[in-house]
Amino acid sequence: MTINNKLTEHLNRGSVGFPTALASTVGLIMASPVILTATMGFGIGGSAFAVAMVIAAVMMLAQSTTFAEAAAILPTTGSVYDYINCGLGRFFAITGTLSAYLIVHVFAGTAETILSGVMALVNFEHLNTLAESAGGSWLLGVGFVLVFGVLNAFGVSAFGRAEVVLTFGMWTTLMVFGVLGLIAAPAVELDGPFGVSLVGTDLMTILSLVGMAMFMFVGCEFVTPLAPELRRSAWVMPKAMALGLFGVASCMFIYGAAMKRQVENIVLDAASGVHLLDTPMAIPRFAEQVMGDIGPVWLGIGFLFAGAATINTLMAGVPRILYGMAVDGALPKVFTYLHPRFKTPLLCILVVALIPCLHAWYLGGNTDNILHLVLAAVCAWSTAYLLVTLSVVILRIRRPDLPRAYRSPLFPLPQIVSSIGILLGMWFITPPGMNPADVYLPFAVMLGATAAYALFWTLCVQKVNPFRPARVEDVLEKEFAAEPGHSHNEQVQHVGKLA
Amino acid sequence: MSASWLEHLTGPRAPAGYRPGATLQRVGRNLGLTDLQSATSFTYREDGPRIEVRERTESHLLMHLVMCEFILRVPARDQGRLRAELHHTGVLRRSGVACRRRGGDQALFERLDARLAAVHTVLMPLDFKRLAIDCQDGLWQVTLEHMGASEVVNRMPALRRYIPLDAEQRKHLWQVFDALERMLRDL
Repeated sequence: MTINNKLTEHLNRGSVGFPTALASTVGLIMASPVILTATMGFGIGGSAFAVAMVIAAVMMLAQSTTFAEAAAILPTTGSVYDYINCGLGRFFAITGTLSAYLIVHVFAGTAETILSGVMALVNFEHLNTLAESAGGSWLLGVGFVLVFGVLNAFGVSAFGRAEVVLTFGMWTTLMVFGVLGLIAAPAVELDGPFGVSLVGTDLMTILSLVGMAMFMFVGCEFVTPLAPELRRSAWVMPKAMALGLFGVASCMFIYGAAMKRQVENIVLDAASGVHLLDTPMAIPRFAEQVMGDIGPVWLGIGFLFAGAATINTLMAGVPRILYGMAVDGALPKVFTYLHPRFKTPLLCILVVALIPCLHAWYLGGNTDNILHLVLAAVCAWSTAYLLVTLSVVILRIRRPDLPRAYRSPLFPLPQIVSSIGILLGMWFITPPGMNPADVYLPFAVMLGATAAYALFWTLCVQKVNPFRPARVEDVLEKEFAAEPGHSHNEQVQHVGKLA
Repeated sequence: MSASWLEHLTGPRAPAGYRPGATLQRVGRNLGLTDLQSATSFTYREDGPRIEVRERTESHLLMHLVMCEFILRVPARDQGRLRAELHHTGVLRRSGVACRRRGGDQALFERLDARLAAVHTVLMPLDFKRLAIDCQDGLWQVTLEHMGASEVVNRMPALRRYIPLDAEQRKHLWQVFDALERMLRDL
């Protein structure tokens, strides 16, 4: 069978349909950093932030066509790594992949750890007071990490059957509060649906808010690793990403308008210029305004479960991935250590738990640092997006003969729009009043370290040309046939009996 | 109406994005087998016992794990019912193998436990997560879940990783099945 036929067959089979693909693109909508960023964005920028969100949505929509074309050419489980490897070579592939996921998690994972406790407890006044007196409500997030780390060390699976309930619960919660907030009589007199901007409405200000707005939408590419599992993925994936983006944007607009309509953005600290909507305190105020006493309890429980489930996922999945890398020889052998009884990768769990805990502790659990972490994560994500776009453009030019079940329309316009937008977003990423060094410096250090590792690994360990792109056919052939650990020299015999 | 709706949401269901047989196919290639059908039931040497493999999933938020259970069936000499589970003992290092009765005949369990000393040596280096020995309807069934031959399918971050059954662990696995088959045939 030719590679084209294999590719067509691969794209047409699969067990996952449109709803799952759509759910994957919006699965993170209730993540605490996303909600707080939306609250802060609408609080600072009002209508200017709404315009920034529209710009970010258009950029991400353009970017989604690039991801869809890449996934149609290379429906592999390696996704981002394979796209960049075929376009730009292994050095950029390793740098881009680590940038997209590992660096993002150093920043966004720490933000989630700090915020999951803060966002949950801020809705329960007495518990919050108690937690603050004990050292801070952010410690609850650290507690989540430790508890789920220990549970996973004992091989206990939490939230085993709760994925559907959690995803459904998050969506419903946000939409119910948003719609009720719009229907209820307004508590604040606003100019327009989102109110006036506190930082101006000129082009430079709007561009400086695009970086924040992008954080609402990053993650739409989470659906691309599902490509091999999707039925008719070339048709399903771009539509799922587009509809997912539209769904997230709609939900956030409703939530932002409702928040501004129901919570007065009073000044909390005149010296530093901190307003209520810049802090997590705005959330319980909004919930109480919309639904009375039950509101903060509902929202608090929602955040509690969302935070716990997100952290549990991190603790259950990433250590196994590290263990697998150690078995393959990509990490030191010591990472293959298993607990004698439970056979859990203890050292891997310890490392994965320590990274966000130590980072959060280093930052003192200060929620003032959350926006810096979020924006540094956006920079990391943007770098990977740019590399994927460049790879898709290069493949169009260098390999026009490749079968493309989905082609990005109006090429190269979407690629130009998304790349310019992302570059502008990164250039103007710090909102007014923030020191750019607080965002760029940690990101640059992490990116530099990643690039150095990628260069060392490709040159000294893999001993290959780091900038030589891989052949698409080779990558597809590997996906369809070769697997790690493949061995023919054992006595395993195929007897051909169907169980 | 509401009960069925809740059951639909919370009841057993395959994780989102789970493709039955995909991990099994990887296990098959990992073992040097040629297709999915051979991976579900195979033998590791010409006169060896037949091993069946089936997938088991574990859901998490935006992630799921796929583990593989290796199953060996051996005819029992006597009738009786038993469910026993084995695990390694030790705090930091493996110090031995313990067997617990989870149900069934005490006498049969004692006979099994007495014979298990013969397989302790081969069980010690094997990274098994679960090992259950059942006797029912005149048939012994060994169900073994290894740490390898499993897959992490993660949507956040978007990663997918197959944990291979390396050559050394494969060797230990076949030795364990050989030893257990011999032991159970005579029990």
